[in-house]
Amino acid sequence: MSDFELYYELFGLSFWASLAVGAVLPLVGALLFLRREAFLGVAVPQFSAAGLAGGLWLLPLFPAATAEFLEHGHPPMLYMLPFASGGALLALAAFGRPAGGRPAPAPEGRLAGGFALAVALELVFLARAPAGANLAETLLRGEILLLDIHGFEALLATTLAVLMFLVACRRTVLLSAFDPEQSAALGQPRVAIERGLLLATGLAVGAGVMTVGPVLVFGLLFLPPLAARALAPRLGAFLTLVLVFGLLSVLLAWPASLLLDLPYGPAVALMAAVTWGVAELARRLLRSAPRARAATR
Amino acid sequence: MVVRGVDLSLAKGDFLLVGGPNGGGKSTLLRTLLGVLPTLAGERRTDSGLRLGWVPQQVPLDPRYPLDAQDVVRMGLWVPGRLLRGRRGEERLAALAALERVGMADRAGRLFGELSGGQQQRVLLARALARRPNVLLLDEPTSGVDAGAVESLRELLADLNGEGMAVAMVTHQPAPWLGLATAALRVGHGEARPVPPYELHAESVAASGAHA
Repeated sequence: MSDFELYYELFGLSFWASLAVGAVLPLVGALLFLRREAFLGVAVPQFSAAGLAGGLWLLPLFPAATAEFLEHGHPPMLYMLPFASGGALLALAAFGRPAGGRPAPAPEGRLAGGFALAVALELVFLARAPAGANLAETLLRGEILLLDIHGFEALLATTLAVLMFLVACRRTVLLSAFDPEQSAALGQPRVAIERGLLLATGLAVGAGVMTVGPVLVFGLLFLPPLAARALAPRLGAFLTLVLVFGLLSVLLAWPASLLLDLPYGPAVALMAAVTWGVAELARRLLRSAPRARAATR
Repeated sequence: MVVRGVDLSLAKGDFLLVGGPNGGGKSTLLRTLLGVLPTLAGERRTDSGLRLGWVPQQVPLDPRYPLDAQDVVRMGLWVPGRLLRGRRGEERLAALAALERVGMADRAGRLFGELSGGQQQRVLLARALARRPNVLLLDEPTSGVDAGAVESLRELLADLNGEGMAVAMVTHQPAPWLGLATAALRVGHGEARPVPPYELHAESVAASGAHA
């Protein structure tokens, strides 16, 4: 068995899971950018991690999930998803723009306080859940989990549902992000769609946090949109580039993680940052080239 | 801000000016007409064939955000029922025609955030016109706009109003619109009161005198 086959045997499902997360999270991040809510990227994954820790604390109350934890080393993903997504949704509800509301200034003070609270809750929950502490620490370091088929199916179903929602409702989502009043003038069901967007964001962030940790979620939410913004001339190209840069980051992180023995989550964030740097460099070169030609004439 | 005593109707060819002091509830009234805010009492009735056009005062946007003028205008055509697939060619032509009407066709590919305030205003007007609305709502369309642009806007709105489009406009500068206005509403201290259009103008002149 070659090295490649061995890696695939071990990490095959995780590889496909990373592609699913790499496609969905940057698109969610791009929409948060458009809604002028990029500041949520600080708090939402942290709240999601606190929710996950809460789930580990409450694990003894759920015998079936406890049995699976004892057998496989981690609880079933379907058990963890509501906790991780619930934490993310709590942060979105507390700090985000209300569904159908207008863009508002970032609530920096509340956000900072909320972040501190989420960190404290996470540590308290983990202290009370010694059986789950190792798992949570692994997640926080961004070590990719060896997914079983059930976990993979849960993750895939979640990310596919989010992706389908984003594609089907993209126009209402984009317009209510850009100008909610214009959305109302066109008679779009913006409040329902924005609530759907909150749920989709919570699910996507929850899926990302419990799979590969909050570091990866931070990186994937905002670095690909920043890279795409540097190069895209129009909205359609921007969304396409967001998807391309997200997938590129998770793909490049695999060889970096396996060959250099890096935790996968930080490797993804690093690759996304490199992609952003290259995109900014390309933008500057593209801008300066016509100027240089004009100067030599 | 709650506004009481609002009793108004907009019919074909009407041109309504809405004035009053800052913070008096003018924008609240406009947003209620738009359907963004609910009525707390009474009702807002609309015809089944209503097509609203909306021109906000401004849309705050990161200047580097990749939305060009044509993208913005095409958003005016994103009506429900065409969520999954818009007819791109048709949309593009309608957007370019609307940009042509406001004299911005040559800037269709420019980033929206890099346009001047007056140019952004014209693009937002094109977005409202792209759908061929029968009622046009405008919030301070001349704020931060030079005299030439005000005159162009006045000519355009006179044409549209002459074609039968109803117009409702919140403004602090009623003077350019006095020749077009068919009615005016003074909104202040939580109340809306119909007044002759020239009275809004007189109040505006008095207020500028007081500030001078």
